[in-house]
Order: sequence, then structure tokens, then C-alpha cells
Amino acid sequence: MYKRDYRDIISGGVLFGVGAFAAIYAYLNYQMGTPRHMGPGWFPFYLGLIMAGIGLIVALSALSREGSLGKFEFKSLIMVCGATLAFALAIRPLGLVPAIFAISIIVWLFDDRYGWKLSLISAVLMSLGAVLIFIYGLGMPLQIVNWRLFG
Amino acid sequence: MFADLAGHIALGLETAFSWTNLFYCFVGVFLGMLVGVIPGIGSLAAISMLLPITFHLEPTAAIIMLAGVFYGTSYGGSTASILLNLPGTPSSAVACVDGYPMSKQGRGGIALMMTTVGSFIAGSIGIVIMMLASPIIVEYALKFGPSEYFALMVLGLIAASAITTTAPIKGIAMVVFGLLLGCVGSDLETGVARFAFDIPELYDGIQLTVIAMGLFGVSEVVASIEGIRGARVDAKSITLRSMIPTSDDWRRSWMPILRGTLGGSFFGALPGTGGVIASFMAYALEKKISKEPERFGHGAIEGVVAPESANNAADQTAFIPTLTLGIPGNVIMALMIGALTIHGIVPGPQFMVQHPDMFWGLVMSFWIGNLILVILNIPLIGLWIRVLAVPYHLMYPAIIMFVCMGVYSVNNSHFDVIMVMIVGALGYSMRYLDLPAAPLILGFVLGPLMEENLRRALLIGRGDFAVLFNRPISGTIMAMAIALLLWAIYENYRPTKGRLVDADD
Repeated sequence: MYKRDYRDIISGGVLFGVGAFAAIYAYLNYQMGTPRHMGPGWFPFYLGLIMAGIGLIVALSALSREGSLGKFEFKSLIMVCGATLAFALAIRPLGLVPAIFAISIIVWLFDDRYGWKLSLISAVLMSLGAVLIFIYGLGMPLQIVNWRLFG
Repeated sequence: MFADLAGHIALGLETAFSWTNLFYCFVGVFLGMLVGVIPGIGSLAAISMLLPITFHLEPTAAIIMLAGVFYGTSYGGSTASILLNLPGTPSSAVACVDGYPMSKQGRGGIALMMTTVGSFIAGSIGIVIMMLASPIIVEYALKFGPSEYFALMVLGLIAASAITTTAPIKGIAMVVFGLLLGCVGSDLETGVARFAFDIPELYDGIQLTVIAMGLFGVSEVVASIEGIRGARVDAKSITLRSMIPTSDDWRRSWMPILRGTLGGSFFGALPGTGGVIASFMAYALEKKISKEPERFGHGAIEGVVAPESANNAADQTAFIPTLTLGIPGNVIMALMIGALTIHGIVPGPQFMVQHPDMFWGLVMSFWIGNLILVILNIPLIGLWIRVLAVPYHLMYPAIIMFVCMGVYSVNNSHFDVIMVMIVGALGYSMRYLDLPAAPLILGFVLGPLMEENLRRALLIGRGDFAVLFNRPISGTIMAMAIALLLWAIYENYRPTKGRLVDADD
């Protein structure tokens, strides 16, 4: 427990930041128009204002309140982002199955519960499932493996 | 009126009984049941992941399947609650209180059977209400103008975000954020590309699937990886014979089922409330009016069937404002609206008029889905118990894969997959900061429509905002919305007493 509710101070700050950014960006770059003939900037500007206002309320009311911060799961976040990124980078040049294996490799690297045998089985099962559901079942035009890369 | 109804039912049955629609109904409820049973995957994540798949289907089949997932999860959620004291879905959390003691007394099978029966009855009544009420609502709503629509949307958004989240005012802020995100991309009226930052992929706006899967799929996985442990259930203990209730059980249950249904139907139709609140209220009511309140918490069957009936009824009636007015009562309904929009169908009063086969086909498929669920729940209960035993860490790579595949398949764009990663990281951060994600989706889906209605309303009113308040219907609605908003600000300054759960179903 902290003396100030830091979580809400941060969240209020974030809301304020995003809202202010949106409002300022809209004001500077798009036409406001009049209420009768609303320009593209009108709606985003006022939305940003509202959001910034709420952010201020949240942050200010948190200054005098106790609060706690939970645990930020950095490792899980990096692993999931890494796996997704690996898929995104692999799917075009390498094909579907290698992209799925890329996910499994990242999981194997980060998660202690996954030994190489489990990762391999998981990768194979997922690939089978994906090919059956997406390529045969739904008829998506995806390359299963890009053999050309291997010569 | 009844001749009309008969005609509608016939049309609906004809649509619902096509092989395609039957198949997808089955797939939907089966997946829903599966997702409901497994703690750690919510119906929200499941529907988000299925959204891209539905793009390849016909709109009717798509919505039938998504709807099946939705109400299927409430059936499945109670299984984990009763057998493991672990709610599969938030709306089944109450069932743990009396359901788990029943399991420990060896009466778990009976609890499961009675909740299935109760859920079926509740669902059926909810569907009947839907069939009767919808045409009437649509008839009135067709007379609405842009002021009324805008006011309704404001009320719906504020209600949905303020009532269900832990900090109502944060919920409203997130709705506004969602509305802002909806502005990204080309503005329909003026053609200006807003907030695109010179990235060509953003000219068409952010994909709904990217946002939904990032916020609910990816962030949920990140949060769950370390936390969730699998649990052991003795599969042999639940046989078909052990599920047969005594006459005493029947006697005690039928009124709670009906009362739960009534409450559930009411709360389901209101925007902002739904299965969770309905189930808690039903439990509280039963305990209060019971002649033996001390039995509650120790295996009182009333305490199990009432909340489960309530949440099933709420699931059905939640479709009423969604399909008749185009106002989503909760996030999942917003996703349904999003799915319809992507198929080129604008939900609103016009929906029933222009696509009666889809509307009534959907309603009839609800019956069929509920029936299938009864079959899945009673004889196949052993299957679900085995599913419960699978540890979560074996499943999450597959979830990651489904998320990646789903997003990629929409536009064959790996940029979308990278976007989902970014949105997912943001979504997890938002979760950490207690900024609720559900209202964001609500705002995102309704954003462009809201802006358009506001524009039109102001055009009619010649730039004067009074146009929203002068007209009797929209004035009343706006007043209610403002009242809710003020209440939300007030709530923020009070010390937080324990709020129920938040809207991420």
C-alpha cells in the first residue's frame, strides 16, 4: 500500500496525455467548422477534451488516496509480443507452418514448463490444426510452406 | 398480430433449418460451451478470435455462430463453478457459492442437471419475450430521428461503461477513447484522413478485429500465463444416474427458476446490465425471500438454479436492443454489431424490416441452440469434465496462434499482426492500470455512427445543440444520460466499496 494511489495517478495521466494530444492534433490539422457544418476536426477535438478532463479528475483525486500497484508481468508480455512478432515476420517469406513453429520456439525459449519435446509436439499439433481449419476448412489462400526458400 | 407472428416463425424456421445455419449453430454453441467451461478464456476472447472467420461466411450463419458462442458460454461456465469452485465465466461466479458445496455433498450431478434445465427454460422464455417485444419496439423506433439515435447512443454508452466497471468514470473515459479511435481513418463526410500519420494502412481506419483481439485475446493471455493453474476433477463421480434430481429438488427449484428468468430478462434488455448483475441479484433475492436462509452457502439448490436461469435469460434479451435499435448493451453485442456492419448490414430498426429472414432465422436458431446445449450438457457431461483437467499452459500457444491467424487472414497483412501485438501490449497496460477495455470497444464500434447522427441532428437544428433536448424523446434520454454521468463522477470521489466484476466477460 502506498500513500498515494500511483496506479490511478498514472492512468489519469495517460488519459490526460492521450486526450490532450488528440485534441491539439485535431485542432491544428483539421478544420473545425461550425456546429451546423461540422468539420473533420470537431468531433475528435471535443472528445479529446473530455478525455483529458476525465484524466485530470482521476489523477487529482488519486493524489490523496491510498492505493497499491499490482505486478506487471514483463516476461509474459515480452514472450507474447515476441511470439506474435515472430509470426508476423515469418508468415510471408516462410509460410504458415514455419510461422507457427516460430511461435513455439519463442514459447520454448521463455516458458520453463516447455521442454523441447513438448514444444515440438505443440508446434506439430497446432500446424495440423491450422492447416485443417484455415486452409482446408475455410479455404484461405495461404502458403503452407514456402519451399522455394529452401532451393 | 398473431398471424404476423406465425408468419415470422415460419420464415425463421425455414432460415434456421438450412444445413449451413444448423452446422454453424452447432459449432457456435459447442465452442461456446468449451470456452465457458475453461477458466482463462472468456466468451469475449473467443468471439474476438472467431470474428475474422465469420468474414468468410454468410452474414446469417456468422451471427448465428457468434450468438451461439455467446449464450453457450453461460451453460459451460456453471460446470466449472459447480465442480471446481472456479468460475468459467464471471456470470457463473455466483453458482460457486452453493454449487460447489453441492458437489462436495455428492450432489454435483444434480446441480448440473438442474442448472441446465433452468437455463433452458429461462432461455426459452427470453426468446419468447424477444419474439413478442421486438416488432413493437421496431415499430416505434422507425419514427426516431438522428437526435433520438444520438441520445440513445450516448445513454447506452454511458450506461454500459458506468454501471459495470470498477471505476465508472474511467469507463466513460475509455468509451471516449474508443470513439476517438473510431475517428482514425477517412472521415466519410469530408474524405479527410484523420490521425493516419501518413501510414497508408491506417487510411481505412483500425480494424475491429485487431482491436478486439489485441485487447481481449492478447492481453488476457499475458495476464493469465502465470496465474492460472489446472485443477483435478474426478470424472467417474458424475454419471448420468447421479444427475437425476429428487422430487424435493424439483419442488424447490421451479420458482427460483422463474424468478431468475424474470429478473434476468429485465436486466439483459437494459444496456449496461447483463448476466453478471442479473445472477447476483437473483441469488440475493432467493436468499432474502427464503424461509430457510441458513441453507444458503451450504448447498441450497435455489442458490444455484436462480442465478444460472437469470444469466441465460439475460443473454437472450440482450439481443433485443441490439437487433431492434442497434444499441449494444454490452461489449459482446458491440462485437456482433461490428460483425454485421462489416457484412454491410447496419443494425437498427431497418434491420428487421430489410432482413426479416436473418432476424427471425436468428431468433429460431436461439431455440435450436438452446436445445443442442441441453443435449451437450446432459449426456456429454463427461467430455467437459475431461476438458477441465487440461492445464492452461498447454493451451495458450494455440490461443496466440489463433489470434495471429485470425488477424492475418482478414487482409493477408502482416502489418495487422504487428498492430495486434501493439494493441495487445497497450491492452495489457490498460488492464494493469485498471482502465477497462470493454467500454473502449463499445465506443469504437459506435463512433462513426454517433458522429454522423450528431452531424445530422445539428444540421436539422441549424447548429443549435438544443435540438437534442427540445424533442421530447431525445430530451428525456439525454437527461438520463447526464444523470448517469454525474453519478459516475460522484462515485469516483467516494471511497471504493467492493464493486462486483467488470465488463470483460
